[in-house]
Amino acid sequence: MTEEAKLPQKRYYRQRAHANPFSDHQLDYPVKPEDMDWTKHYPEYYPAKDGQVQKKVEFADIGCGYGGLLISMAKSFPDNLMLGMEIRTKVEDYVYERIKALRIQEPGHYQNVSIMRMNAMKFLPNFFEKGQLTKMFFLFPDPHFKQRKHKARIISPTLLAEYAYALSIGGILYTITDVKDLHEWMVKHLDDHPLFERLSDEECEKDPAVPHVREATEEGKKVARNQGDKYLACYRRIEDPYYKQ
Amino acid sequence: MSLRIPFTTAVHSPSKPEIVLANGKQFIVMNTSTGEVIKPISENERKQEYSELYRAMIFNNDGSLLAATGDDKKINVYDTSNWSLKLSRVAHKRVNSFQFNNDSTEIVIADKFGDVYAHPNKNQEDQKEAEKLEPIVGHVSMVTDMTLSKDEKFIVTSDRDEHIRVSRYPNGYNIENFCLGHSDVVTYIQVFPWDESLLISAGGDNTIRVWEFLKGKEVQSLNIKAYIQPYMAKATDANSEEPMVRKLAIDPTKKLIAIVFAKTNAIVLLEWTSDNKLVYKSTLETSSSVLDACFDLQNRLWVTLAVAEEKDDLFAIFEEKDGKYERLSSDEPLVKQINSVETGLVEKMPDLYTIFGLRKLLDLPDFVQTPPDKARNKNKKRKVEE
Repeated sequence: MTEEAKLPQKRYYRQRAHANPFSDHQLDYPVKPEDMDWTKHYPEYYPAKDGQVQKKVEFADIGCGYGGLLISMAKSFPDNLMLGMEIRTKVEDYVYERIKALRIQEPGHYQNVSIMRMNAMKFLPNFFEKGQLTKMFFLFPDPHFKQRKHKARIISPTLLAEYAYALSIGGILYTITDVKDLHEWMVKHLDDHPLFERLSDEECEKDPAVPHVREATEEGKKVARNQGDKYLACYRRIEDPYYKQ
Repeated sequence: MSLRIPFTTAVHSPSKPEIVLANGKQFIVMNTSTGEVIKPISENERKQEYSELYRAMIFNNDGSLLAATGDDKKINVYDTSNWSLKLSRVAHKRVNSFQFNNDSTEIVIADKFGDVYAHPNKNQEDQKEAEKLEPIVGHVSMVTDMTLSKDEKFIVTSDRDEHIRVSRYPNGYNIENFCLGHSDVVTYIQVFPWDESLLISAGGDNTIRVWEFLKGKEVQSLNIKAYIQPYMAKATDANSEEPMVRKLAIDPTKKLIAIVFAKTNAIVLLEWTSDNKLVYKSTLETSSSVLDACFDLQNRLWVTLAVAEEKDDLFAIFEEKDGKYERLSSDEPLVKQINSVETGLVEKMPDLYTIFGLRKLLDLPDFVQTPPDKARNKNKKRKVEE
């Protein structure tokens, strides 16, 4: 195995779990989605090959951590481009190296997965056009326990408007956490938001992404080892009911 | 030695020849035809501990009401026929920008926390009523300005992260689209009075942009750096190196736009031509830093200035003569009269240019695993020195 194809070792990429999403991290982001150069992320798909429609990112894993979900979903959804966004530098480095190695180890696979270091709370509209995404994942997000930190939570009324903008009608937003308080918070805000409707348990079980959501991440595996509970909640982006009155 | 407080904010009535001028903890009202003071500084409160209580002021559509808000989070509404205080409300956080809706039943505000609320235009019943108000729109970063579309079906908000967001109104949870193009904080947005489908925007990136905002489409970007750079004051830190637009003063009848820059001795005039383009018209020089500017009903541009010495002018007035805007001489009776108006007094002049702080250049990045001996001093933006 060449040097390049060796999987990275996690112990060299440890980083504390919290990063402040409100400070300015000197991130690179395009002024608008049309300006983004995706060729470095998806070299097999950008530019589009002759006769083929240009594919765009459809699945976004917000706060993707060590990339467990994306890596596991890459082969189950080979025709969809998926992107992880992670604000912590070392963690993003790890996932980047991992994807690089996997693309070499298994030619033809993992070309549809990539990661970027980004503050999804602030710059989502810079990357994704209106209704571009069909799935958004919020797996084991930082609970920000203290009351004063509640605005930093990744699910908030402010941010749900932006997520609704990026998701196409019918697109699904997945949340899972082992912190019951956080689960109840997210459910309350999603239930309150007019552009989201909760999926029933049956619908969740039928969704092919749900097993990945439950099992595939580092966090998910840790919770299983500790025999904790996992609270899943899935929502569909719907039309604005305001105009139906 | 007491210093005169200059007029930091100036707004003109849409219906009467009257201008309202913020002066620390008070405001005065002046007749713009005669220069006569209608509402003077209260004599027993002349000496002030400076506080910008009238950071933002706005008239309603017919000029019958004036709303004012500042550092104390209060929104005061005045009856402009006699300048009595009609009602007072308390906002959750300090208000950055606000406006009345078309029929003056609501005051829509955008606060420094990033939230937009629609306050009913009446006295607050009690604390509970204030707390029940839910935000209509929320940005993650500070909202710098906001404006409603003429038909009030949309609300446009700008923020520190270069975004201009167009949301439905009052269902602000539904984002229509974004106007993305600016590369620095956006400090001012306004729908054109003569074309309600177009939005003009400005901020820290040296461009004035025009948008078909409902489509999120940029129709023009005009770089104005060359017109103003020679007049800028020396920069005191990275944030104040590039010109920063504080606001645009718009004259609806002549279709003129006057650009007010922070800490600069000039105003750039633009014109909206008959083939729907913004073009540079001229640069108007002043004797000291411009604080604010607005057009009166006779298309004259009233400019308020920062004053350092006793002899410095508080105002400059520019009037059109043979197609060009020229400064009225200090000897003109009107100019003489207004420059001798009584202002509040302070011992020490406060920082009048905190707007530079909206840039992010001095915000240091989050270093997560820095060894203690190499740890940088993780602090705070330096204040812009006078």
